[in-house]
Amino acid sequence: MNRQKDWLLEVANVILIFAEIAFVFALIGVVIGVIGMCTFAHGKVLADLAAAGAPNGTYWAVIAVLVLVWVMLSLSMLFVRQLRAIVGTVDDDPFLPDNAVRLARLGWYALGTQLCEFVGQPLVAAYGKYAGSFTWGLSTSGGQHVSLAPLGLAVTLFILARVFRHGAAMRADLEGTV
Amino acid sequence: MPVIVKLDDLLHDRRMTLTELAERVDLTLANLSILKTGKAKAIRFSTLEAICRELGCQPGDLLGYQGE
Repeated sequence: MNRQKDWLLEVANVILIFAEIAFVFALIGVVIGVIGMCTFAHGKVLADLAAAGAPNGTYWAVIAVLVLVWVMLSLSMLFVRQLRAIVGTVDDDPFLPDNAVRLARLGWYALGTQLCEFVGQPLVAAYGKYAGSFTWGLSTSGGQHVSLAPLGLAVTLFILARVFRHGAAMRADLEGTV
Repeated sequence: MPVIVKLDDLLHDRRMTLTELAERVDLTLANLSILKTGKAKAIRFSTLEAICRELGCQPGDLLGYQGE
């Protein structure tokens, strides 16, 4: 399609590429952190937690939170990848059934993020204060409530996916009309 | 498809080219060619009206039904 380049989409595409790269590095970082906590830093972490007066099970709660963070980062990376695929179709033909599927996937990723928050937030609230000794100043207090924004986003995306699917079907009906 | 388009015959009878008709009915040559070759899935009333006007015919002269 002969059309002027949309600068907003160009910028969005560049930002999404950088975001995807950042998520890959973050995922690798979390994996290294978990492996470190389970191997060479195991003794030090246990000693630090004991010194902070952490109750039994704090160590495993911290591991669980890190795993949840890894899952959330993975979902975010997949979210960005699908969004980039949608952006890539805009110049050519965005009204495709594939994009409806991608929007639905975005909805599932947002829902997954919300579930991780529901599981992880109580753990952070209960054990976060003990983890401060080995998080190098990073905040571990967490919010006092779970944000429902991902849930709202998921619902919006599911609705948009249905609208898009219907639009793509209508478009397909019109193809070949002269 | 059992519905056939007889645009080729109409153009031949009127000594008119597809390009000329495309200009008169304000359709692209590509779309009119799709119609002529029977590859179109549907035809708008506005298109039918414009073709009938320019060729001086009835919709029934342009379209026919051929049993399976």
